[in-house]
Amino acid sequence: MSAEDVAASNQFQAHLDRALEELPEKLRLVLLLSAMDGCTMEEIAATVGVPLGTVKSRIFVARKKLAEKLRCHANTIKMR
Amino acid sequence: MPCEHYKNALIDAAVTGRDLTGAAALTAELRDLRAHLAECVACRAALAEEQSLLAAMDSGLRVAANAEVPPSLLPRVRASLDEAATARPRWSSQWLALAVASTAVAMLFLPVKFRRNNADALSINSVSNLPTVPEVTPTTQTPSLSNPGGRGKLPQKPLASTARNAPLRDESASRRRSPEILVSRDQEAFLASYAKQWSSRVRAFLVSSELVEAKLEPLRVPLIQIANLDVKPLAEEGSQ
Repeated sequence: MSAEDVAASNQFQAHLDRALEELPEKLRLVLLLSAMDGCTMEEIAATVGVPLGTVKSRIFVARKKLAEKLRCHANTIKMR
Repeated sequence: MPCEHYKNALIDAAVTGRDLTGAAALTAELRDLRAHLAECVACRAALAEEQSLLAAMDSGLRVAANAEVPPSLLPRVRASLDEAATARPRWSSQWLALAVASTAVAMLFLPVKFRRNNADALSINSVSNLPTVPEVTPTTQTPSLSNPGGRGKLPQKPLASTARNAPLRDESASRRRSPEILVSRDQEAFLASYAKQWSSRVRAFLVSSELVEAKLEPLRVPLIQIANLDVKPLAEEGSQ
């Protein structure tokens, strides 16, 4: 991995953190829990106290919103 | 640039990570998308770009979610918790001492105040002030303010709110103590005399109760000396 790739990776991670902060709390929570190693959907549902279907739909919405924010960021980088 | 019609379907497929190339059972919409991807190069490229973006996002999320706690964090948190635990009793002990002191002062002065309040409640001085209440009503004062010449027979309303409120403000303190009771003129004198009598009775009662409370020695009455009666038999009286 080149220095440019590391810088781009760091920049992407910083933008991802910022985009995560902009997400609503309930979406961010389930998304981060789903990204944790060894955390199943059932465990997330039990932790948050919502049905399994709600967890799935929240993860879907959170990923979609986050991807949209990151896409905007990628487009601005491309335009530079 | 993907086709506008399939744009949302492409994004949803990438977000859900659905495998469109496999033989899994697909909905009609996804079957239509798969057929479109087979013949549209732009949409295939857009889907690949979306999938790579989501893969980068997932790896970044994994980094953020599984970030290791720095070893220096735990001692710092423990130290700050200990500091807070030692600071808290000092604060609470000061407030506890203050509360105890104020309670002691209140317990000292409360009986005195309670006794005074009882005496105030029992005295009917506030009731004897009732005849002055009609004097502050605006109807008695407004003719001089609104109609100086005395023309017109109808009662006039006060012009300024200050003229109406000024006397009320003066007696607001006394009204707070006793409720306002409106009575007719002929009953005022009767009520005043009744209040006076009642007040004197209550004062007498209070004075007597104070005397009862005071420790009095039992009254010592000297024994009465009764002289022997000089009774003569009836027979002797009859003979005489």
